[in-house]
Amino acid sequence: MTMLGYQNKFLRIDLTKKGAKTEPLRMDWAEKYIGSKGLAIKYLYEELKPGIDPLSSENKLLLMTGPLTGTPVPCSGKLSISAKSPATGTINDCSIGGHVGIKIKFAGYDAIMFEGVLKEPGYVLIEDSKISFKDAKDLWGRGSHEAEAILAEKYGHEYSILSIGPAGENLVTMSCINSDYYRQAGRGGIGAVMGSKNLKAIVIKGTGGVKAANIVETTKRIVEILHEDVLQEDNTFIFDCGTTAFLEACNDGGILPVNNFSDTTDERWTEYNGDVLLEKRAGKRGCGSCGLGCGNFLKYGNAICEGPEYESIAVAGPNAGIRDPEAIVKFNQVADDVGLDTISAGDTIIWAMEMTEKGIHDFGIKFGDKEKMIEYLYLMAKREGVGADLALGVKLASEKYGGTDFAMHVKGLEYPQYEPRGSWGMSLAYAVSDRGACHMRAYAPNEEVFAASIPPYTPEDKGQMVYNLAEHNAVKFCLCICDFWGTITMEIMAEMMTIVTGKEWSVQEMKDVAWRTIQIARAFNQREGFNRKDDTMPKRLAKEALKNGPAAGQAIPQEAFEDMLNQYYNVLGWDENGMVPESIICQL
Amino acid sequence: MKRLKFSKEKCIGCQLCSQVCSAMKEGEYIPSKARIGIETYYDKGKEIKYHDSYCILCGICKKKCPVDAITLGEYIQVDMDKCIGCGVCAEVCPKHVVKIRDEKAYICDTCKGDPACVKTCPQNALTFE
Repeated sequence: MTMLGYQNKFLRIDLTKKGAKTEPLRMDWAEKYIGSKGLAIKYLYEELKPGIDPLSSENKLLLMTGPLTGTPVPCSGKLSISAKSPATGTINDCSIGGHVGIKIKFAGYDAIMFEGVLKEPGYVLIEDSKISFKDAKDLWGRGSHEAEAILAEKYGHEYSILSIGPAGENLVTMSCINSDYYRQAGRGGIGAVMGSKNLKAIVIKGTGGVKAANIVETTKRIVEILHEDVLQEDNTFIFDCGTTAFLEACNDGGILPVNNFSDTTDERWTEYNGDVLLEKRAGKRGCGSCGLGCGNFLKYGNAICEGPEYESIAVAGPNAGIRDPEAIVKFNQVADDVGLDTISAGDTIIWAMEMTEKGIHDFGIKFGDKEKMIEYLYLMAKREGVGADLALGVKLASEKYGGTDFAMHVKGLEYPQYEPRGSWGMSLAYAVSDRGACHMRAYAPNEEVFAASIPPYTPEDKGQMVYNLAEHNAVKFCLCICDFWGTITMEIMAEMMTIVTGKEWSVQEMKDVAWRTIQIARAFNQREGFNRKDDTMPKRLAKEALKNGPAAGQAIPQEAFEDMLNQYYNVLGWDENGMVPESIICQL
Repeated sequence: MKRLKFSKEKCIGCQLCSQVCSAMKEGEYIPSKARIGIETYYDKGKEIKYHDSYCILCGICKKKCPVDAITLGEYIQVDMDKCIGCGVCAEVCPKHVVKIRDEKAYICDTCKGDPACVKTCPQNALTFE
């Protein structure tokens, strides 16, 4: 049956020929994958030839909304941006906030796919059904923030902008895409895919609408859910503190990494925590269709950013041996502007700090070198001097210079800032995530550390636990609902889908969507040659026990890790090599 | 008489107000046709700016309407039979609330004294008092 919420329109933009055409959205696929993450991966699975170079014209950049995008379903304003990752060679779907997702929907599209390559640097202007190709020679080389400011000045605030910085232009495989200045599709080098297409920016305005079933009653129920479920203390802390709140929780739980994951727990954490940072708050901002408003717009001395988020605080703070809040904010600001992912760029620099301190290779930077940490971002974005090596990321740089044992990555994607020795399930979550080490696929500390619902220092039951978390998040990201609606249940997600689309969705059907999404992402990666050998844990976690904090003495024995992998493969029906069998692939 | 009030310090720019407004008035989530338009944006990434378009019941539209199509009691009503869509009301509206479409004027009626936008606003940035 027809499902409302969708525009039933897929826009395909051919950058080589500077042409655009629309086609109906594959609703048969939408019924199986809903939208955003799942539907994007399905499209790319079907359309990308196996083995392509992610930075060649054969890769495709896909912006995918969901049926709830543009509706007042709270926290539904995110957008999935996906492509084959140049960092990992895996599928890579990112989720970006701001207002660009709802603008795409109001412009009349469920999705926009960019194919081919522009001959000269340019940007694409989308105004409802009108598509224009514009010259970007004057923008090329500029920071992402500066480019966005120039375009915003030209077109006005009704337009949303996606842009890349010099890192994306220079095909650095840890480059991000920015929107609303401070929101990022950060990981896996998605910015380099845009850069490889000579596409500096996408500018979009939409004046149309989105339909929903029984719209008056549906809207009343959505508003009820907003006030009864979303706006409760378990979620609204994100308004008050943003993700700075995680700093204390992670430190107390023994999972805040210190000095390139050589240890955890920092007794000086109050020097750069939320109390210190948020004193400099200059305003609040949320995404389109939000309700919670996590964005803290800060002005800290010379530094300015929205955030900083926990990840950036940890990587440019204790994990770098730095305790200077202004330096942390500046690191965040510069990384965004030059267009680098704070996690991957930060991890690579702190790895270089350890390499230098251990005398393995002199990268000219040691723990605590806060000015250099910021200076190196510019060098990495331009691939100049020491930046040329660091722009490779920890996997390739460690293969060149040594230090692989403490090169913190999976499949070439650098580690987020949750130390697995204090939350063993996280080592599994990072290992089996569809795009390398990502904390957004299954967030183990929630169960193992914060809720303490399952013992953290054991492999027992971790396969099922990680699957349950991944299942929940997969549904969330197929609906493109923000992670910060933490109390959302599968029942609420099924209800939102039902009332907006007008088609009955059961909890089981939502779970089936998650299962297919996880399977097809794995099938994509398997087709690219990935299997068990790539589902790894950095050697440091097995070889070195933590010295400090609540998890002191903990290391993750390799056998325990392999045990967790086996459990997870069993839950998914994969063989011992982690391969998805043909009997599952044919259902996707 | 109760009026809409907007506190920009509380606004997070989510635009739920205009989405809900347009659902109730237009049967579609279409902020461009909503009777309220509140947005925030970064000016060059350095300051948060506000665009707040909402009816303050000032009554200027009523005074200037050449065909007396607008009445102002507890809220504004447009007599669509009388309205000729001349756009004078839209031109004089200090908050740029009035939308002219298909030769008719569309103006916020505060949902007849029970505004849906206020009931929606997650941060109490909109009030009716």
